[in-house]
Amino acid sequence: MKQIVVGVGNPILGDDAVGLEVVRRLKGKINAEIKETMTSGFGLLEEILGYDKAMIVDALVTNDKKEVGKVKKFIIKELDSNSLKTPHALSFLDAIGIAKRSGIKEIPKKIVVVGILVNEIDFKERISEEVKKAIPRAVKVVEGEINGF
Amino acid sequence: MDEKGNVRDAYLQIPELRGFEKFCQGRRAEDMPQITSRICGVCPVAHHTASVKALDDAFGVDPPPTAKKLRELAYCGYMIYDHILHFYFLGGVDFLVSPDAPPSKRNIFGLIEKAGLNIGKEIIKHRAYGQKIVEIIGGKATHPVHGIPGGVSKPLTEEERKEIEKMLKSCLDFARFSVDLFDKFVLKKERYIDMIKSDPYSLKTYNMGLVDDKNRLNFYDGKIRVVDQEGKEVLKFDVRDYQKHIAEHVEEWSYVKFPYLKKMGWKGLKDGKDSGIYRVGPLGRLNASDELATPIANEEFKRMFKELGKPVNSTLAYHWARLIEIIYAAERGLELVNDSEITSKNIRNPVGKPGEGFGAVEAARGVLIHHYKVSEKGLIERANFIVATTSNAGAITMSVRKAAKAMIRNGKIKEGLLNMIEMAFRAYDPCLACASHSLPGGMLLEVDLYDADGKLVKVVRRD
Repeated sequence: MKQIVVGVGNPILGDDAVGLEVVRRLKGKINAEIKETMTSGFGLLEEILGYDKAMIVDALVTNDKKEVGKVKKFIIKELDSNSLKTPHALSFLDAIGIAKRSGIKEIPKKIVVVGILVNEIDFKERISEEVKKAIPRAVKVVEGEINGF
Repeated sequence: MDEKGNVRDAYLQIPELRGFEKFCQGRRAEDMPQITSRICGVCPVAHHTASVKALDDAFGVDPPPTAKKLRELAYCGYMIYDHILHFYFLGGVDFLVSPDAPPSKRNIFGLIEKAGLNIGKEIIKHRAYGQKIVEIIGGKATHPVHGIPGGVSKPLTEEERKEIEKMLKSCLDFARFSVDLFDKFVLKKERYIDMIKSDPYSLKTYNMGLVDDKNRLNFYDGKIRVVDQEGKEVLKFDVRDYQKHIAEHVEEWSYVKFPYLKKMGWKGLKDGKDSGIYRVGPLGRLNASDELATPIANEEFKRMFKELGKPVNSTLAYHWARLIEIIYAAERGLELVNDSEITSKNIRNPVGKPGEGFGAVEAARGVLIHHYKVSEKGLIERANFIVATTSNAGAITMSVRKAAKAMIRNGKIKEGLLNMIEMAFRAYDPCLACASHSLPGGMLLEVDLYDADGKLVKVVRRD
């Protein structure tokens, strides 16, 4: 069973970096490869090709400030993303959809997203206190998912 | 709209944040290539390279030839993957499938349906090759770390050289295949050619691009050249003089500053000779070049101008120009990878004292300028950026306005308004996040229609 955990985030966009911080704390602690990336779409897809199971840890933006700091887990199932929402970039879900329809076989059988809810993303290099508190919880969610498989 | 319900004006609003210039103040100059490449995930290689060139200049050092060639080679990889992404996944498919098709078909899935399963695999493979080339030279896939003031941090091994050569050969074949596909699905169809040439999709602006000493396109280095609506050169300058020639206009309804040519001045959002608005990007570059430096790309360059006249004023021709540039990037990359100096270990020259520095490159979307003032201690005192999409901001807004005028008559909206507006601005491959120096995000398209009294009468949107 080849497993990978990818932390996604931008180190200069405040709370957006939380995914990177979570995976740094998992290094050497779980039976999975750990990677950090700042890319999405195909760049992110290529990171996980060839693994049986992949976990993506990323910040999720919410408009509801009461939600900030919550940790959510999603399992990506059959995807049929049809709408390309931005004119210049492709979402991760779009990339998986395209790869599947193109017959690419190395896509992991199970893809899990662990999202840490954040509200403000701005040019700065530190994570806010309320989002910091979510890091140990997110670490536990990933550990549980990897060990429980 | 006016009293009769026809479009008086249209604005493309990008409600995002600013503040990156400020964020850079007080930082160590040598960190800038890393920091600026994180402005957004779309063109980190362009920011990295413009930044390191600005640092060469600020520290008064000329890198050895091998360092410059390695930077340019990585750059060819970037241009290949970025253009492939846009052509096949974002903008070009508008055409390849059919401009009239509904949005749910006007995308890569529609193309796979039309051209077969294998095309999807080939696209993914070659996009990844471009990225891999950057990774080999740059040390990291998305965010290269090789550029340092005075050169690059790591030489190329013979093994790596061979691997890159193999990938570039495949990319060249794929680029030629892509042009054939465009030929078959688009250029052979009179209806599409008419559409490309039609007035709602045309703008007569100035064109800008980086050229070498023979006025040939170069992505990495050269002088900034501007040609007019007849293709005549009106300006050619070193990036150090950019402030003499380019100014930025502020509109109260947008965070984006609108750059324009000082010589002609800001005359509002208008095209024509009197207005200083110019276009950059694939079409701007090819219009600003006399020819291309590599043979296959140059043949295609000549064919495009024979078909559409020179300069090409049609916005939709950006797609064709983009394909020609993929050929050029693959050919130029092959020249560089076969250069006898490319694996030399002489890759860095010592830096001098810090000062002011300017760097320009051609980002996939057009001329990108970084300008720093560095203190005696080597810290950034001031940073200014002219990014491609801001250069195109005036033209993009005008293109949207033209599309809106054609589609809204007497207060009635014709079918396909969103399609047409979307095609008009997608052609530019706008990177709006970076243009307003903000973060990447999802995008919805919404057209708000106001009557002559300023009352909102209709909203057309797609999430």
